[in-house]
Amino acid sequence: MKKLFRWAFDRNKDDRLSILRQVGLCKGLSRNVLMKLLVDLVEKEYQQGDLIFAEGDTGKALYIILNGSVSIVKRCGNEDKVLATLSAGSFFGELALIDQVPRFASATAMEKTTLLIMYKSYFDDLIKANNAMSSRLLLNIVELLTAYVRKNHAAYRCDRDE
Amino acid sequence: MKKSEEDLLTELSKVHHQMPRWVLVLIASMALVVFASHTAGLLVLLLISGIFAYLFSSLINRIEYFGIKRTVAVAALYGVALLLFTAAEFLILPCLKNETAHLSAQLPDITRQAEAAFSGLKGYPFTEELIDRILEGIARPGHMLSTTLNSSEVFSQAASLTFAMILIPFFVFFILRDWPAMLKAFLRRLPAAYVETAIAALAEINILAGRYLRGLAIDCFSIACIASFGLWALGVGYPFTLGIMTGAANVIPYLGPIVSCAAASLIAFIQFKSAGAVINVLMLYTAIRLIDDFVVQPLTIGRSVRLHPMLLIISIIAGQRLFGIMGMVLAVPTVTILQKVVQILLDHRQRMRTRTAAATHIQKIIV
Repeated sequence: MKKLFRWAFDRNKDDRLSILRQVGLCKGLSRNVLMKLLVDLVEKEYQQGDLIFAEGDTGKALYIILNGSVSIVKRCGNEDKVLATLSAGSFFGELALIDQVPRFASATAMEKTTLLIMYKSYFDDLIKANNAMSSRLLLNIVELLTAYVRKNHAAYRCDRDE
Repeated sequence: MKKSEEDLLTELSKVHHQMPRWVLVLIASMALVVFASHTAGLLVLLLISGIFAYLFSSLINRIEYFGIKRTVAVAALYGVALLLFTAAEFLILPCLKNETAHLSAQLPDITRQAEAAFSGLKGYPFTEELIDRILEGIARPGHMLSTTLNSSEVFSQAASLTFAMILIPFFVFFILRDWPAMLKAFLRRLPAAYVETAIAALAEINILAGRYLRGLAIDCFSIACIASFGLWALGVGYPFTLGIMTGAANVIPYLGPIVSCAAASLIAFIQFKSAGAVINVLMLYTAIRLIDDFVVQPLTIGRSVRLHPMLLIISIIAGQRLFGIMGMVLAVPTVTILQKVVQILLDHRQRMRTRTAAATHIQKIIV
């Protein structure tokens, strides 16, 4: 039956779907939910050197990298420190979904990069739905934040031991 | 090219470079207003198509979640709509056609009956002028129908209606199908610094307009059903026509319910010739209002529209003056959205001030 109606299905989204499956935030989400994200979220292409957001901006969106790479840079005094270089399947700006505090660092496209942008009000609507998907998303975010806390705690202990 | 022409071009390019941006924006806005005033009919058609496309866009998105192509989803929606229209033609429309035909035929008779019914009240102070106005109001549609029937005006109106009935589904199809591509093309051209603001504005508009328009559609349908059933239970004539009119008028806050209540009361008064029937209709419409305000609207529209009552009335009157009935219907969501967009733009302006310094430092790293 599915073979008969193959012409009706959109095969172009399959590549993007496989990238979305690798994203930590989307862990455990069903194919239909991932398709929902692909349909609903806004896609934007950035050129090399484009500033995606700057340190100190009020964060309002999360970004998922579909292709290309992004550099996360933090200003320390007069110096700029590269915290991470992210590639396809990574995401950044997740803290903006929890509270609208100023961005901790800046994000810049290192090459031609395509991002999927999840705005805070969309995320809030997903959470308000109060179903299995919203619980899974929240759980994924809690896991990420827990990982940050563990990492920082370990770094703090190493500094103290030295 | 002659020397004088070259000089002129150089002068023009100098003017272009010297001209402040706001002058260009002002000229472009004026050109847009002139264009809009000359093509108002087409713009209204596009606006109606946009609203229909918007109402159905979430359904199309839901079909897309299953991996089905957008074009196929839109075509399937048109197929289902065609089936529903065919079913309505056989099941609901005959009943509605009978009622409206009967009402049109009875209009001169209703005018005479209303004159007779109101004549008894003419002796009371302040009532004479009011009654004359009401009778004039009832007589006018009857007069209009009898004079314009079979005239060329009817044909031109029918032609523009047919034109609209062909163009609206055509526009809706392409807006529904191509909206994601249009949005993508717009974002591709948008400078990176404006992306978050643009998406913020789009997300807020989507949430506000979506909640309002979809909520309003469900609200009107529910009110039309309740009013039709209530009027039928009271034995008032033309319950379906009046019910549909009540539902449709409900889109205009405050004024719509008053107009539909007045029309139903008038029909009841002429039909039963008693104040008791009018009181029954008034009680029914009060009950409908309470049900709408405390049960239906909180479930459908919710708190998406938070306008001060004074601003609400001003926007409805301004909408009516500018775009007629369509302006009255769209005044509330438009002002709500404008309020939100202005807030987002002010936030963006604030953010851009802090951003410029950071951008300069990041560029150094990339270079």
